[in-house]
Amino acid sequence: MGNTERAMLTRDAISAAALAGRLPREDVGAVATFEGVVRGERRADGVALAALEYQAYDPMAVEQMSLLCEKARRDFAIIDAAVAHRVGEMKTGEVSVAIAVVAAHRDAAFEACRWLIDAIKVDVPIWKKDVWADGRREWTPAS
Amino acid sequence: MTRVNVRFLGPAADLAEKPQQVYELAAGETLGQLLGRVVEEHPRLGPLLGARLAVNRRYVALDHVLADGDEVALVPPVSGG
Repeated sequence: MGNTERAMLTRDAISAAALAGRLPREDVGAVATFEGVVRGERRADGVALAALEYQAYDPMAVEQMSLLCEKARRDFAIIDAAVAHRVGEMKTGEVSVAIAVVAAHRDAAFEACRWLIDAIKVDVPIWKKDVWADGRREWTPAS
Repeated sequence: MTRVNVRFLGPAADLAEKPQQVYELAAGETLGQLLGRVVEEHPRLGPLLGARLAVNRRYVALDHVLADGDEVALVPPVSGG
């Protein structure tokens, strides 16, 4: 999987804490993190969601995440930002996307973190399938 | 001869029933012109006519002129995060 300094696509488990640990701490007064988690759901007929299966257009997905981190550094008063997205099959409760932002002050850290997850959901070429407990797999509609 | 590889990503691969296809282009052919031919050949991709397109892994507009060896990607609405 492709990686850049601030953007990572991986089949392994990810966490915002691990991501935040890779960012500089000099002059930092605030660390904002976000984790997107596979949420348990039920279909209209009661069948439970077992997992989500993510696939990415690699390396464009990594390049887009890297561009978004650069844009966040330009547009918000932050020191740095990093993003990790997991691909492959994840069960409910597992982390699919993680974001960490470090800044001098909390407002910019929160705002940049919020902007990054919204932008990821629009710009990064990643798709997922719902994997239901009865074995059915279908593309999740874009949100 | 100008040839480009068109990648059908995510749900688009199911609709096209293949992950990619090589197209030969006329000189100066734009992405929009190519997209018209792709959808003519794969009518099930019709609903994705408004989808975003990437050339060499960057989003570009329909008037983008293609070059030999370009990797074109049909990017259906994404659902990451």
